[in-house]
Amino acid sequence: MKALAVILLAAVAACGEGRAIFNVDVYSFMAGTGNDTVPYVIPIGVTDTVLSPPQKVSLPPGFGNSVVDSVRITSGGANLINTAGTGTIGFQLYIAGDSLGALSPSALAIDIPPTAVNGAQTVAVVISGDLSPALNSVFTNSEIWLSIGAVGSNTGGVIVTGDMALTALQIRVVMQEHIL
Amino acid sequence: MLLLAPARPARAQFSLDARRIGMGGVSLSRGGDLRRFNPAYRAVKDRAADGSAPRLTIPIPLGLIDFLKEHPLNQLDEDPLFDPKSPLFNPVELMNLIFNPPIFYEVRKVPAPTNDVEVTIGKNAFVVDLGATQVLIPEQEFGLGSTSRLLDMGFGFAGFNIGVMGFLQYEVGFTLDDALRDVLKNADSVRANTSYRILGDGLVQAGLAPTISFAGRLTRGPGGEESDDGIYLGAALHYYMGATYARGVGPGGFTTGDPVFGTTPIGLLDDTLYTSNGPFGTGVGGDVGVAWISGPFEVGVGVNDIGAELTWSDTKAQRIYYHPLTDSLYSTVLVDHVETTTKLPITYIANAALRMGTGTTVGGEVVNSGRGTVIHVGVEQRATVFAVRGGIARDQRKKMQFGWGGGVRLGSVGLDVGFWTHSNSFADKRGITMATSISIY
Repeated sequence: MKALAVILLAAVAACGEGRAIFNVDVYSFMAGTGNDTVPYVIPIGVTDTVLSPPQKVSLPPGFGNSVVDSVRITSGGANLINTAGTGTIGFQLYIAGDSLGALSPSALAIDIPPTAVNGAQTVAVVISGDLSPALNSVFTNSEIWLSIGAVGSNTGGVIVTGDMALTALQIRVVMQEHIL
Repeated sequence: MLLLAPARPARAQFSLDARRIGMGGVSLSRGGDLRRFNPAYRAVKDRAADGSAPRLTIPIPLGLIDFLKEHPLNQLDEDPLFDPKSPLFNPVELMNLIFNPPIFYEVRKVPAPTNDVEVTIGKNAFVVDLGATQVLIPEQEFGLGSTSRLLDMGFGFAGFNIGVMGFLQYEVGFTLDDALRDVLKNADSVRANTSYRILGDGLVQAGLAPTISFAGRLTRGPGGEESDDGIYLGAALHYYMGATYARGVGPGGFTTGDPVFGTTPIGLLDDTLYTSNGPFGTGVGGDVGVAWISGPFEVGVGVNDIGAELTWSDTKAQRIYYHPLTDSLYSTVLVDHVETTTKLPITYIANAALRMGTGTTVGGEVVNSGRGTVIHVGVEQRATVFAVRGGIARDQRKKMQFGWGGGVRLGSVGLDVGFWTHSNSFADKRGITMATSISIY
C-alpha cells in the first residue's frame, strides 16, 4: 500500500492547491460478502432497526492532516425484496473509523425516508444526499467501516419479512489536501 | 517525486548578460562556450581587446529584489513557498524556483499547475485522474546529465600548453513502464496482480586528465597581424585518470494484489550497481577545433572527448534487491575485480557570425554539452549609441524560445535589457524573463 500511497501523494502534491476528490465505490467492497444485504423480520405493531455486519473499505493512506470539505452519495440504490407483510422500510448508512463504531448510533451518516412495502414485491430505493458533516474527518483515515441498516415498521396484520439488498453505493469525498 | 521530474529542464538563464539574452542566447564574445568547446579559439584574440565586446558585464538582479520583496528573509520560516506544512505549499512552484532562479525579473511568471485530482477507488479499481497536470507526465525517458570540466590549468609557450583538467560526467535517466504511464497519463485503472515500474539508469564518473594541447594561427588574411583574419587550429590530447565511477541500472516499483484495495502491494526493486574499487580508470581521448575568420565573417567547429573510453581495471557488480517478506534491502556481489569500460559523451559546438559594416551582427551557435542539442540564432543592429536585438533558439526540450531586447552605450558604459521566453518550468506555458545588465567596455 505504501507504493500506491507514494504515487498518489506525489500526484496530488503536483497539483498544487487543487482539491483531492475521491470517488469510492463502496458497493464493490460489499458485494459478495453478504454484508450488502440486511434481512428483516418485523413483528406486528413494532418499529425496529436491523444492521448489517460492518464492512471495511480501504482508502489511500497519507491524508490524515487533510480537511474534508464534503461527503455525498453520488450514486446509490437498494432493493427492498419484501416477501410478506405491509409496512415501511427505511435505509440508513453508518460510518466509523472502526468496526464497533460502525454499529453505534453516533455513526449514522444518512437516513433515507421509509418506503412503503406491501406483500411479496421488490421495490427499488434511490439513495442519495450529503452525509453528516460530523463524520467528515473519518474519511481522512486509511480505512473506514460501514454498516447499512434497515429501519422497518409493521402497519399491517402479518409479520413483515424480506431483504434489503444494496445495489449501488458510490461516495464522493472532496478534501483540501494537506499531505505532509 | 515522480511527477516533479519533467522531461529535461532547459537552461533559461544561460547567461547573466542581457545582450546575449536579447539575441536568443548567441554570444558575441569569443570566450565562454567557444573556448570551452573549441580549442582553436584559445588562439583567437577576444573581442574585448578591440572594444566591440565588454570587458566586464554586471547583471542587475531586479528579479532578486522583487523576490526578496515578496519573500522577506526574516519571514522565510513562515513562507508557504518553503513550508511543506502550509496549506498553500506547492512543491511544483518550489521546483520552478530551483530550475529558474529569480536573478532577473519575471515579466510573465509560469503559473504552477493547480487543479483537482480525482481518484476513483473500488475493490478492484484505482484510477487517478490528474486532469491538466497529466501534461507533466513524461512520455519518454526523463532525467538530467552533464559533462563538466571542473578545472583546466597549465602553462605553455608558442601555442603549446601542458596542464591538467578535472572532468565530471553524470547522467540520470528514468523511464515509466507502459502500465504506470497509462495510470498516470491516461487515468487507466491500477489493475490487480499487475506490476508497475520505473526503470532507472544512472552513471557518474570523475577524475583528472593530464593534457597536452596546441592552439595556433595557421594562416593570416590580408589584414596581416593587425587583424584577426586567418585559419586557427586547436587540438588537445587527454590522458584520463578516472578517480571514481558508479552506475546503477534497474527497475523499482510494485506489484498489486487481488483485490487492488485490501491487499498490500509487493514492493519491487532489483537493481545492479557497478562501482570502481578504486581510482583505476584510464583512457585516452582528444579535442579538436578549427576557426576561420575573414573580415566580418567568422565560423568555427569544436569537438571534445573524441574516443574518450575509460577502462576501469578493478570494478565490481552488485545486485541490490528488496525482499518483501522481510521488508528489507539486500545486496550480493555478482562479480568482483573485473574490468569495465565507460565512455565520455562527445560534446561539440559549431558557431558562425557575420559583422556587417552597417552595424548589423548576425550569429548562430549549435551546442551539445552532452545531453541534447541547443541551437541559438540572433541578430544585433547598432545605430549610433543604440542597439536593437532579437533571436530564436531551440532548447534541450526541443521547444522554440524567443529573445529580444536593446541597449544604449555611452562611451565605455552600456546599459542593456533583454527579454527571453523559457520553458524550464513544470508547466506547458512559456514564461518571460527580463534581464538587465551593465557592460563596461
